[in-house]
Amino acid sequence: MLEQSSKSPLPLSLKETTEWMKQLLGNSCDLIVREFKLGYEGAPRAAMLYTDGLVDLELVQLFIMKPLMELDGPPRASDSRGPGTNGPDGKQEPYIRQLVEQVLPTGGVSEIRERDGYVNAVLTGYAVISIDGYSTAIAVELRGWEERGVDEPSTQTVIRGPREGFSENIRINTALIRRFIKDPKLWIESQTIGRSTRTAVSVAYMKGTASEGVIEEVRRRLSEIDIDAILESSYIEELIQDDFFTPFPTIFHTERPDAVAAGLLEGRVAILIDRTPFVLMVPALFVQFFQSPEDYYQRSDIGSLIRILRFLCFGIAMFVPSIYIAITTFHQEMLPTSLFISLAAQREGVPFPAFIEAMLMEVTFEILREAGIRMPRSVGQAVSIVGTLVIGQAAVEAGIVSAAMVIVVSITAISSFVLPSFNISISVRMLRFLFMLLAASFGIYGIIIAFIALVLHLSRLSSFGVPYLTPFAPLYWSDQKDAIMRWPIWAMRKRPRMIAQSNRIRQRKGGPRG
Amino acid sequence: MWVGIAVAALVAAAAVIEAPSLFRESAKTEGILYLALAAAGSFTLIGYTGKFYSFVFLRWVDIAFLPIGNWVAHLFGTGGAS
Amino acid sequence: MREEAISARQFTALALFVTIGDSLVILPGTMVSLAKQDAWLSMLVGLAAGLPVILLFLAVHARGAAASPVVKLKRICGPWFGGLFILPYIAFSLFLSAGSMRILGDFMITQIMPETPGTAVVALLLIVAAAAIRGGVEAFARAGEVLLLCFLFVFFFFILTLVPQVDFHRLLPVCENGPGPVAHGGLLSLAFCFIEIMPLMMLMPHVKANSRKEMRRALLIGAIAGACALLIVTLLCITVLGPGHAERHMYPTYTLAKKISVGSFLERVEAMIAFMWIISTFMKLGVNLFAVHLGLAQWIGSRSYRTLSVPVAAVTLALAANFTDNMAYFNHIVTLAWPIYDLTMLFVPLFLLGLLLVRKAGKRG
Repeated sequence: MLEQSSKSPLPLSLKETTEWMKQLLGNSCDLIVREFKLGYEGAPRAAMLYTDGLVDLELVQLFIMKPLMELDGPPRASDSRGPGTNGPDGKQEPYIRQLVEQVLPTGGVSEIRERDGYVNAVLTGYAVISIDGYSTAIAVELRGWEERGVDEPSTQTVIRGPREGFSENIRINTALIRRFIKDPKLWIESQTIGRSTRTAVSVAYMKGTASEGVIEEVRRRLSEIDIDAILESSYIEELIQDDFFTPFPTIFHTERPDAVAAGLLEGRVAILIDRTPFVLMVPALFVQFFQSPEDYYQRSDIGSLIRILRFLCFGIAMFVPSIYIAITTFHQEMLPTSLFISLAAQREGVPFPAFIEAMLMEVTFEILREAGIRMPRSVGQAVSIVGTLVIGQAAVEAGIVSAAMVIVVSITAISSFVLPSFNISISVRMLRFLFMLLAASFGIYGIIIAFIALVLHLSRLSSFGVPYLTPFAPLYWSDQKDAIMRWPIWAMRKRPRMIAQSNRIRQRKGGPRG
Repeated sequence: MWVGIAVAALVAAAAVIEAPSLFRESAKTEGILYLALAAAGSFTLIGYTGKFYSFVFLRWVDIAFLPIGNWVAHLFGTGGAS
Repeated sequence: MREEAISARQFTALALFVTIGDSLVILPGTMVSLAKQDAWLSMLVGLAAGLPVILLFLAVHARGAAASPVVKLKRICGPWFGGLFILPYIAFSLFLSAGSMRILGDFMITQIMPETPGTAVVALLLIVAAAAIRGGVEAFARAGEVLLLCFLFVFFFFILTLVPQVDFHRLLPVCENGPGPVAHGGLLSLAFCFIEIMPLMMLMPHVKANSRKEMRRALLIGAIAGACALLIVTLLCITVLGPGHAERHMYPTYTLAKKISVGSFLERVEAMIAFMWIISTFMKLGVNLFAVHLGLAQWIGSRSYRTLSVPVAAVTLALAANFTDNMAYFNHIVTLAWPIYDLTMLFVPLFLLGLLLVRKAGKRG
């Protein structure tokens, strides 16, 4: 049955068509078959098939049922062949063509001749009209379903800047980007991925700015995907990323149209996936995960300082617990005497070595954080009270952990929240435990080795052929204007070197005004 | 000693994983070299033949060059005893 | 597989690291013990004598097709006769790796981690180095670039915080004991800083330099900058600690860091020195190990140089563990036998250069 449905033509008889569809879908209750008769005398019977909930019923009544049922005569023939005759070559059916051209007043109308397309159209939310005696069906795009509107994004929030975020509908998302970039050079390619989900995936880029090699690589990797379902952009991300064995993300994702527009204009390639507000961007560099759109909306001096703060926080979240362990376990002599005495006094009653103490607190914190995300909102308050009071204060008073340890864990936790991208703070969370282990066994030496290993690992990574540590290694002086620092807009006259390999000039003339 | 045994165990594990594929890919010289180096390293680490290897690899440097070094030091007037 | 390429700038960073290498903590003390307050002159002598050595390496690289010395030797002399020169060259790189590891291990267990077994300390670094070999030349060079930024940052911080304590009177009198000790110190710096660049020749064919001139500039700048860094550290050791004090310490640079005190809150920052030194030693170790791997792979003609990373690391660890019996003897070797060994090893590039010149003349004639 299914083999028959692939590329074979539709049956002529209306009854056969509707029966075939019902059987194919196993009489699913959301398939609606509405049979009716065209308005005039002697007109053929017709049926409209659609998936309940995917079409806008009001519009269907207004723009399909009403014109068709109130039709007072066959549409005027534009050639000698009367109604009911198939074209001699089977290519065209004038009657259907006339209906489309003269009767149906909607925009997205197409003709369907194959079973494959028929099924696809019904399931993707078209209203499909079959007319008895014709093997061509009319698909009308009157999709309408309950949808979350364009909301403010819940990740990557900004104080100043546009409040619009992507929604689940890929059309709305492309429109949101197009509203930022009204340039014919913004090209959007589309394809469908996923045998069952038939998810629409679009690749957007600025023709002439984005590197052709990267675009080609994106196309190649997307075309190699053979999977039944794409439910979120993370599926695509995992299937096309360069290297799986790394805690670091090599593909950037965002739900902010302004961030995507900025990325596109720099020469990056965006991958939009239907049914998710998260848009992927490649190539993604290490520094990109420390940048927030807000950096560009605030003055450049404060933008630069905040970026430096983020790198500092990355270092704190990564290294502070291990440094604490190393110093209290092996290198007490490195502390100033007074600080050491107060630390030692605090740790006096603590029954665990520093490493166990730190692991206890860090794991507790991870549990609290995970609970905070997954539980119902209304319970949140209770958890935070339990977290702060019971686990923080009470644990110190009970002498299970030292107060200094609580401070270390808190500063680590808060620092990891400063990072604007959630996925880079995940990698910090994971690596932190490894570093703590090294610090507990090798002290400062272990931390330095961990640092070297981290740099080596980051140097080995690349995102779609671009080294991950660009612009630090390979070092590009001109790109430093938008790496750790954020120079004034008028100073950033060129696009990043490794991203946009051609068309690098952003502004011809630049300089401070006034 | 224990560290040596742990490292030797790691090396042995790596050899079990990697060496067969070398022979399968008919990179025979490489495979033999792999096993020879791994064995030399591991045995020395466990504590056997340490002296032997250190002589073969390094001690001859002292024996061959120390007299010249002493002579040079004497020449420069910076001592150079033993 | 794509040819792995490193940029001229990355090569400069590697050259700088190889020049500094493990010398950062060892060399100033050894030179001061020989030449007293004239140790900085020894460094200059070493630099003057080192430049021709570097030009020799460049000359070998520039003659003939762009290939590593091992490939050239094998092509001209065949695998067996060429092996007489290739094997000492590879062994030299391997011994340098083991030696620097032993020095690092000794430093760690005497100064920073007294209760940890030295083998474990060395093993940890070698695991990372083996991973670096697996990662390839390109990633290693990129890491060098990033680590150089970190290194320079800490280095300048280190110098600036020590400048207030500098007393130039400690440099007097100049040449108290005649030129002999200065020359001996110079021999050490020549050997440890410049001749030990030799393994870096294996990476030269990977450098994506537009011209021979760019290549020469990259190597010279790296080596001279490294030598200058060592000169500054030596000067600081003498002028801050004084020659008598510096001489008594095995690791005067480390003692130097203990002297840092800014506003009585920035103190006890010796970890900084450990940081710089481990980085430079690691980079030198990496270059040496790459030379071993590339050399072995090119000699036996295997496709990938990465496969042997585990056994070579094991052998390096074994050698480092059995390097010498005790530290006194070790010091003795480092000052007396090792520089001569380094000097002797120059016969490999000299022989190769001679061969290349003779072959060129033969072709012309």
